Amino acid sequence: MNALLAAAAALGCALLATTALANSEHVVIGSKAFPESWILAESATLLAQGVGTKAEHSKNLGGTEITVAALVSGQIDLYPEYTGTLSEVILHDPHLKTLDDLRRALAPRGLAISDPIGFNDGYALAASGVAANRYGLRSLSDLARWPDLRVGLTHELLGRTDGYPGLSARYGLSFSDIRGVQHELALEAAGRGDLDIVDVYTTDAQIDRLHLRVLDDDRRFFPRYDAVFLYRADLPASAPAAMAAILRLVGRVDEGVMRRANARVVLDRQTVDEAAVALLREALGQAPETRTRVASVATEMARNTARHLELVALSLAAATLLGVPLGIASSRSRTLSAITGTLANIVQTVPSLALLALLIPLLGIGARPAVASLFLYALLPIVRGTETGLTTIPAAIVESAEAIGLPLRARLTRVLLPMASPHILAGLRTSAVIAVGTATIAALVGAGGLGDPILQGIALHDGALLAQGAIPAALLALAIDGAFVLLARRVVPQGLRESTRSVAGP
Amino acid sequence: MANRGPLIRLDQVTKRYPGGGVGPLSLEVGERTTVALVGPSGSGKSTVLRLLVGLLSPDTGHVFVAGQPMRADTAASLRLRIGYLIQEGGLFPHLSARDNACIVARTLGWPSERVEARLSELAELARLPRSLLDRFPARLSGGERQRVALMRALFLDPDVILLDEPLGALDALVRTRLQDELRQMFHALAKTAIFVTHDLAEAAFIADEIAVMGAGVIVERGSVESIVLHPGSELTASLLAAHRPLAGRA
Repeated sequence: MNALLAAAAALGCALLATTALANSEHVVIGSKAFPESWILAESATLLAQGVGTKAEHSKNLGGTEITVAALVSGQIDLYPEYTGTLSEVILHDPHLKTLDDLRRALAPRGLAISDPIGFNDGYALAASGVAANRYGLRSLSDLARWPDLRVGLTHELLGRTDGYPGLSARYGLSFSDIRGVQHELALEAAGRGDLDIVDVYTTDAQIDRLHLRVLDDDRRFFPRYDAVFLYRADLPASAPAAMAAILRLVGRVDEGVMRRANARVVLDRQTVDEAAVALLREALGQAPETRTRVASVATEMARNTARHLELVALSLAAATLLGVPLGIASSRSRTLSAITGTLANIVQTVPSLALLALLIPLLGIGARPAVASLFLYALLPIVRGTETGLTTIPAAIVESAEAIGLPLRARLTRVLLPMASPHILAGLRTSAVIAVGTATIAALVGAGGLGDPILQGIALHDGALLAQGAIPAALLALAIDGAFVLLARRVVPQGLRESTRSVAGP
Repeated sequence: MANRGPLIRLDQVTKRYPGGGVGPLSLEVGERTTVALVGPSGSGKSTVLRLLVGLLSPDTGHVFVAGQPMRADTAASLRLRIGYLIQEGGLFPHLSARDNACIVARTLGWPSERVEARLSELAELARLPRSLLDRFPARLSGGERQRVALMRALFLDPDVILLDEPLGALDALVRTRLQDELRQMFHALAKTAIFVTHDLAEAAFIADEIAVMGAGVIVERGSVESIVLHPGSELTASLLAAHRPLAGRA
């Protein structure tokens, strides 16, 4: 009895302790689809969890538009962004340079930014270690004296007027040996000493490994991409503890710290969690206990595949429920057929990323916008299949069904739909295969599925990771295709499958 | 219902469609009478049947079946009193012969014993071996298909039978045999029927009366004897003359 009481008391104390530790705050921190964004967001998540806030990391959202839409609609509360992206992409006003300018422009949208986290992830030129030492290169101004340097720049930088043409005018550069080279190849060449000057991002994971020296932009040509936290203006009030904890990073992460954290993920294949812990240790001198759970590749693949199937099945079921009746109606009205055809074609031409961005303000992030967009893409083949199936039934059959006195409902269920079933199934099959492929973009809005490893694999240049998404997705498409062949054997009436060989005699 | 009037009545009906039309056209067919509607292709014979079964609605005039007007709201119930059969049978390819024949009865909720009994009865009448009932139309010959289509048309024991070139797609031997059977059947069943054909000899063999159609109107109507022996129009005469006697080549 005493033992029981003691146990109960201990349990009570434990409960009290946990409630004292936890607060009632709940924040969702987003990240875009590249490693630096993941690491910063994961760091912020760990800091918020450290003060008892229920914080989750909605990883790997699509482009800037999708992430901002998720922020504005309240699906996420905060994510790492860059000042240059804020002015160029989000606010569309390159003249907004200072933090105050940006804050004033963001306020009407209910958004705010932190002070700079400490590093600039912008364009820069870097010299190979050998060239830097030989010619004493420290800043871009130093380059003007060495026109014979071997320069390899990305085509993007060479082409943009605010790229190399502006840069060479500002610094008086006139290189004789300058060529366009793909980014990764240029970096490797500089690492081997085959190129002297390349363009880099200032926090590029490769810089330290390849012993490149980033040249100081002493005449301030390149726009600044200072990392900041972009958050909903109501966050400091709704989650003060988490906000304070996250803002501890302000001013603490310089280019070196960020480069090393990036390198852990990109080059050393450590988990984002591990890189975030290392970054916090370097930047703040402390780090929360890591709680990494490394799932096996097989478990991950099974989980992603199940999620993928779930998204496909939901959207396909919805598209069938609407598409078949819409196809029936279209087969009976030329006007409706033209309308549904046009609408469906329009949807089909909207790029999937744009469609997702449009749906986020309405449906938020996660499975809902993903299922909705897959549903819209799946609709056309089903509507068309049903319509084609019904309109290609010979007139004699359609009229006979009516003339012998079958009511409309029986005509549809007993005669017309069974006869149209091969076309309807073909439409469904097309939709299903498209949906399996398109569902990989669901990862862009945080819906998970096989797109997750694909996006991460692309961001990390990790073919094996990419294959963990791409191969199951391809197999799934084949399996579903096969399943529809089997389904057709069951659903399509036997009489339609029998060859129309004629038999002699009466 | 006092069923003493004509079972089929077209009253000053006209129907125009792209490239042709019928009417004004009036036609009455009384009880137990088989009328053959004869005429060249495009004369509007099939259109008359399609008006009668409500697949087309007239531009002007009225259509009555069993004393009731054929309209959108009455078509569903009236069609159950009509047996309708077209040239290629219009059988549903995805259903077996059995399911084709009894589909309407099943939809109406007939108990299966009643359906089976009727199937046996009709298979015998239409001389279709019962073993063929489980076949799909694609595995039946043209003649067998028309026997099944006839079973379907007769299944509900309709008051009126409309046959649109029922033997048109069959070869000569099968056709002759089925003509014999149809003739016996019509006599045995004593139904009101309209039988569309372009073949005056077939019409004369099977029907009680003949109505000759040309260019959308009925040019002549009378008993088989009067039409064949005393053709009252050039069209009838030319249809009669169109039969080439085999002896001519001998």
